[in-house]
Amino acid sequence: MTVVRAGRVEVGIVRWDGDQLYALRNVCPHAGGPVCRGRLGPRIVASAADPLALDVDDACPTVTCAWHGWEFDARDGRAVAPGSRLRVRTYPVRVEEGTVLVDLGRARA
Amino acid sequence: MYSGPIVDCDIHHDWPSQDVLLPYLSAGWREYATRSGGRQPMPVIPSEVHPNPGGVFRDDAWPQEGGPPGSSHALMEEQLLGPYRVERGLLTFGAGTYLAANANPYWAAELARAANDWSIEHWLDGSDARLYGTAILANQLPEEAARELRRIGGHPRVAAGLLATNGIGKPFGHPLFHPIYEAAEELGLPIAIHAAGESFASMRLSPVGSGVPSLYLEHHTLIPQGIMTHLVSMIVHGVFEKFPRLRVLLMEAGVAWIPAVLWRFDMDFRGLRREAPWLKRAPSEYFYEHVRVTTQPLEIAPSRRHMLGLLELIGAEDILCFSSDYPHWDTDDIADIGRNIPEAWHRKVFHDNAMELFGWNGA
Ligand code: FES
Repeated sequence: MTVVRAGRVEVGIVRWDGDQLYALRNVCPHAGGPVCRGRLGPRIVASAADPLALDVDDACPTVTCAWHGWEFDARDGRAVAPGSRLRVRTYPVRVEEGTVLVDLGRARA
Repeated sequence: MYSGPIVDCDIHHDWPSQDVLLPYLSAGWREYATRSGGRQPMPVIPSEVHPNPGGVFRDDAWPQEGGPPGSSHALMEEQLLGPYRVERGLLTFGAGTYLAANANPYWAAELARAANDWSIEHWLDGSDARLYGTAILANQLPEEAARELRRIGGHPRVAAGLLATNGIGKPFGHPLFHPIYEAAEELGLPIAIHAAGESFASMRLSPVGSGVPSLYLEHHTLIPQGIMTHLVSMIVHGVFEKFPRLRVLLMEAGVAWIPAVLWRFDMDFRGLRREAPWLKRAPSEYFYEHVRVTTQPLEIAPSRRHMLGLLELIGAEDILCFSSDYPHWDTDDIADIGRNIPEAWHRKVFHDNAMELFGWNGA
């Protein structure tokens, strides 16, 4: 996960599973912390029937915010914790001729 | 004044003397308890760390014929069941509530069995159709406690399993206790958790966090702490994921602590979900779906407006179940509680919520 700046907007670029790219605004919906300066990893999962079998779901890239550790799904920015409706803003991203392009839409650069 | 039907979820019925349990013990345990009729029988309940200097009973609840408060059905009728429309009352034992405080786990299990048989024979024979009972569970040996619940849980007047004393010094969500919840779910019975289960010297536990307090006043003020611990533990350990039909009734811990714990719990879960990834919902959602709370002792706020605001915040209308705690010193009077909660909630809090919890609708 790399953080880049475009004008006043900071964006975290996530690369996952080789060639999957996601872009998230580096502002945490919890308290405004630098969410993309935290950690990127797979989602920890388990079933209550067998807590010993703690596992990871590699299909779910998870960003853990640098401040209070709240988790967000890198693909859509949604909070991972059930019951939370918070969401990190995400942006469309694509690669053109080896360059990663992030569409900030109408965000003021 | 509410004049509708009432379910009282916490009535402490007691034996006139612990000797009445003797016929319910096996020969071996009877000999153990009495030492061949010696003058120093085994106490059923070890001493509390903090005795109430005024005693734990209402002064007017002592039966004339002797025995402790709660042991006379006639007086209970006169003071509680008769004056109000108590249509169903849940009996939660007197001295027996805390029998799992016995350090000897085998003795505790035998006592629980004897106490349950005594309760069924003397209070749940249907001669007072309003009375329902709990199965007291000695949880030092959770597998035994589950067996005991299965033994009598099918009785038509046994309405819940009762956990009070913390027999192994672990919060109640610990997997060691899960066999009890498995049995309860299987039987369709809620588990009632009565506060103050850490109050006995034999438990080697402090009844509150951060050390053993000095006075009963400290202990009693902080009694909700133990219930908070059990609640958080049960949710964190995924008890309600594992046993999705299990319901729990928290008894005698008051209500004002609920928003503080739930809000903090939900917030912390967002940052610490990785520790309990088996939870599929926010902690507070498990609470609202699976847990109900008895009213007593309902906190009295400096102003009624503030009290109402707090009760509204926690959705009290849907989660509170009235309890008197008769015949204890901190009992709540039905009329008084009626004045302290909005009239629009009376029917649910005094009756409907408990009826739903115990599966009594249509029964
Ligand atoms: S600011 Fe991101 S978790 Fe609090």
